[in-house]
Amino acid sequence: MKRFFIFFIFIIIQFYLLDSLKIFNIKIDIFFPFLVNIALNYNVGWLIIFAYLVGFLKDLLSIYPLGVNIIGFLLSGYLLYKLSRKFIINLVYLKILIVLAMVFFVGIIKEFLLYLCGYPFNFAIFLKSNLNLGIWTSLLSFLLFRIIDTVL
Amino acid sequence: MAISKYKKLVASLLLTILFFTAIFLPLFRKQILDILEFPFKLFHYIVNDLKALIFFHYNFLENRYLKKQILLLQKRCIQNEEILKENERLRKLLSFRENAKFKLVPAQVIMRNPDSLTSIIIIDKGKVDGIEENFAVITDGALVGRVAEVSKSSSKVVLLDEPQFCVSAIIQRSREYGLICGTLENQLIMRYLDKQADVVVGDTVITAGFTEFFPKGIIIGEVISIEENPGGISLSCRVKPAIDLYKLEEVMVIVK
Repeated sequence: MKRFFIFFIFIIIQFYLLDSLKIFNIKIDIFFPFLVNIALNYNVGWLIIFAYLVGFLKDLLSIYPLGVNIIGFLLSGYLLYKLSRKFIINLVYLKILIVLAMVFFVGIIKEFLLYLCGYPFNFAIFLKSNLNLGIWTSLLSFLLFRIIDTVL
Repeated sequence: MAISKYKKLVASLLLTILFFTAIFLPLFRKQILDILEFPFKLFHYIVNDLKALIFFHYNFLENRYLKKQILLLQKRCIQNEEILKENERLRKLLSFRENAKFKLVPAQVIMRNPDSLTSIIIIDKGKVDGIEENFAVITDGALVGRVAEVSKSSSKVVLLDEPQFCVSAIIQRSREYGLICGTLENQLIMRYLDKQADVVVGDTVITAGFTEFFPKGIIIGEVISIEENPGGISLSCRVKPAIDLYKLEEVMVIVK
């Protein structure tokens, strides 16, 4: 219940409040650190539920012909879970690196699926937007990991 | 061992179902959005009211600025009316075909896409208000985007800076043609301008009116830089949108 409540707060922040807190036109995605935390600390069931909900909400507001975000988040979440079972990831720096990798991984899956659906692929825009999003989200993750760890 | 196998089977079955819902989500997305419209609106109003309370000093300053603007615009309106009448008379003299009349439907932005990798807003007007796909959306006389998906009482609007968005445009001063596309950076790129095109920084870019749904003359933005394309065949220029796409609250849909 607590996890769902935190998730709900995150939805409100991400959807309604972060618009006014953009850094260089980039809206930080606080769902990435949230999912990384769930993947590293809880069982796979929780991860699938939250990864699915994040992807579902994003796809609900998109115009793409597929649920690309659902697929992207589910796959990346599952890989992350497998990774966490092989290695013990306690250092915050490592978690932040994982956030950066996850941003890129979801981005690649999304672009690949959209390319298969006939959407044009612009490498420059992909790299620039994902890099910006990844860097700023990972930088903010320092703070977010502390908050999530304290609350959950 | 048997339990573990059973668990794996259930997990893989669950994952398959989830993947299938991902594939078929676009089919029932409109219906879900219609159901979720009320909570979206509710949170939008609550958050907006809270913001207004917290940042009341901004509203005070904005109010003062807007009062000045009203006075200025009233003067300009009177001047414009004269010009409009003169224009009508001259048009009749030259027997020009009258421009197609458009109806404007005001709408409120109730939601934004949650990330910065796509540029989409959701407005509170849909099919019942006469809105259809591809209709142009404006605010303060400047182009905002186009309607991409329409459900019963809400619509999704793709904003100007979304890479999937392209519209034919002209430089207002020199009438040079090009194609405006989004870059996701609150900046647009105007492509396929002739190499000899007469463009300078500060030029205003307007819609060309080549497409059915975008009337001619809607302001898009202002040229901020010009660059030659690698092949040297054409020019491109960066355009700053006339409006702040991230602070949209009310928009108008141009309905034919």
